[in-house]
Amino acid sequence: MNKWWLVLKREYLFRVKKKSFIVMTLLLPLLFASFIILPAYLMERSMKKNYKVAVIDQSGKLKFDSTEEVSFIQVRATGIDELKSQIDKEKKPYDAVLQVPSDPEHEAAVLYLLSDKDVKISDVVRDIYQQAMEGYRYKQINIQPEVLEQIKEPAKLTVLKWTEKGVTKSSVGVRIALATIGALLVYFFMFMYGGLAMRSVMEEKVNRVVELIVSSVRPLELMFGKLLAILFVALTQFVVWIVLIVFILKSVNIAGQNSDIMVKLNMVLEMVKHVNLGLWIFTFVFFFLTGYLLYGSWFAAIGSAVDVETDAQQFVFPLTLPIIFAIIFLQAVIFNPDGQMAFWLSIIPFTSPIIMPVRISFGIGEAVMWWEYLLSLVLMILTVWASLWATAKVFRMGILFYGKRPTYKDLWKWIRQG
Amino acid sequence: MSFIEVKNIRKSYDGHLALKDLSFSVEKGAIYGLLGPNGAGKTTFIRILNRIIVYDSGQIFFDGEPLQQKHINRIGYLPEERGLYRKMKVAEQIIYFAQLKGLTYGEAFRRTKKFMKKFDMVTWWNKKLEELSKGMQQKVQFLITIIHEPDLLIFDEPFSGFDPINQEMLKSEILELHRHGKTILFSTHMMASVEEICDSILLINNGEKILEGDIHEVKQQHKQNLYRIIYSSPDAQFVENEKFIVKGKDSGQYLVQVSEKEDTNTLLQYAMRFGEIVHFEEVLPTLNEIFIQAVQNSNLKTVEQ
Repeated sequence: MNKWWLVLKREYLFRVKKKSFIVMTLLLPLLFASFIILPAYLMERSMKKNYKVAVIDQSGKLKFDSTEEVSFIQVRATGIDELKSQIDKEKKPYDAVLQVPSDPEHEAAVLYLLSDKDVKISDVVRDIYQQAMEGYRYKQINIQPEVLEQIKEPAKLTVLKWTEKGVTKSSVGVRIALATIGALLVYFFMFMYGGLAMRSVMEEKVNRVVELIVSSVRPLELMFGKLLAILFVALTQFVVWIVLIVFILKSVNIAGQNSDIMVKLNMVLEMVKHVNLGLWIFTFVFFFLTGYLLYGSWFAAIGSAVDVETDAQQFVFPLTLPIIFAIIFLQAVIFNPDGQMAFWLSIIPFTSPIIMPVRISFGIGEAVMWWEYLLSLVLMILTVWASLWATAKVFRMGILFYGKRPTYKDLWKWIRQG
Repeated sequence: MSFIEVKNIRKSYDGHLALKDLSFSVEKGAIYGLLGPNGAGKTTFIRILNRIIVYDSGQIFFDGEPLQQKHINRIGYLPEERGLYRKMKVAEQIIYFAQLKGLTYGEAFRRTKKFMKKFDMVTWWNKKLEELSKGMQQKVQFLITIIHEPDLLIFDEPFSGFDPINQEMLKSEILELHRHGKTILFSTHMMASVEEICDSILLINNGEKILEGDIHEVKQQHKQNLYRIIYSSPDAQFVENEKFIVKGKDSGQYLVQVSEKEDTNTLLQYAMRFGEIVHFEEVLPTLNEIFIQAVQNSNLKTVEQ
């Protein structure tokens, strides 16, 4: 068996069995659920409740239609005080009392809430009171409500995309969504798991186990084993996240067929069909992997060179600058995916993992020319190759370098000598 | 036959020579002491032998072949800076390192079981390393060093950090490995610890060889013709002359240096005049004394140059 495989297996199992990993992996979809699903779910539940509202209509002109949410009960009383004496306080037959004045055009109606628990009731009653007033006014000036509805019917407008290839439905929205999701995932992935690779190397250096390991495994095998292990850890986490999120969405779908989220989701799925999804996925996966290898190898090299976390900061900061730069200009690239800024950021290998998936979302041959795309891919492969070569040398020298805080000069020397 | 043969090894860091044309050989089955003060180049050499770092020039032969990556599975290494995975379970850890040294999982598992039984460690099987005491952790580290039954064992400062009980255990285990024909390389600056177990030594300072050979021969070469005489009476008075010079005395005990031309019997005959002798022995220098002397001489030489 290859030794890098043993390193990979140990590292992977160790990371995956860690409590923090398990908690993170399960918690994120749950957080997602609680942020998106729960409010909708709670809202739906509270809607189901049927409010009972007593109406004292002193004008006698308004018509209140009971709905699923609210039942209006006309009561005869001259005012709230009289009503109070009529009802049994213990039983609370009403949730609220609406008192409409004799001249509702000039005087305000009053809604008495019998408890503070239901915040929604005032909104619901306000809407219905508005409708009742509108109905009253239509009658006053003799307009049929149906006529008004006809007038307000939405005008029909179809948005199409017209290119040399023909006319298709526009899918700008979904393209922006794809661009943002792709860029943010790559960003998150490079940062979080690159950092993990760094800490993993540092842990072994700090507790001195590394000397024993490199007496059995070549440093290069150790570095690759670790980088790949963390890649697999990340993929494991992603798969669990996707499965759980899909599961949660599905169960919501079963719970409420016409839920808002599902409608939107179906709309998105419909629109995605107009994007070259195969190419987008290839681009995303390509830059996802190469971006991780590029940054992960440098992070690992930094981890090998230092033995105190604070010493790592001075090297981590410049390394993260291109990533931050790319994220800052993300918005600009999305709105102008074939501009100068977009071109350069998608060609330069340190920013291309974030920017190229954005540009490709807007279509090859449109936002990105084929030659730009291929150039970016080739440059990325060359840079990753060179980085692995250089960082392996830093790693080899760095892991046995203790005590002193290394300088950039040291790192350069290691690359030259290693 | 030499198990390790080192020819003109040279290694420099940052323009400073850590090893200067070092050459020596270790016999198969020997217990060999690599001695020298801190910074002499011992750890550098050991790392080269473990193929952790590369050397600039020279040659190393391992069991007759030029040293290659495949040989590292036949080496067991106890580094000076001990360290294992703190959060990993003991048995899992031993099996992992055994596999890294080329054992299959099954074989690694079987041996881990066997050795843990032998060292009374079975109850630690599922414990995390950090739950063990320091002494126990060192036992685990030692076990990892020998689990793959290597032909060459390298101990870098083995006795530092071990408590006296574990030091004794370590010593007897090392002697057992020696009986099984393993070649053992010690590296230390603590002479007393190796004096009784090493067959041969190499003394290096500033990356250079200053002394090499069989430990008894080395001692003979460096003896200063000193003898200890003890009289039955504490009042006995030894009178020195130009041949026999008193180097130390303490109530009936004398340390006498004999000039090179004289032999032991002449001293004994001369000494008998001053009282009844109950004890007479040749005093050989300790390794420590030889070491300090040799290092000082070599430092002087460096200064002169």
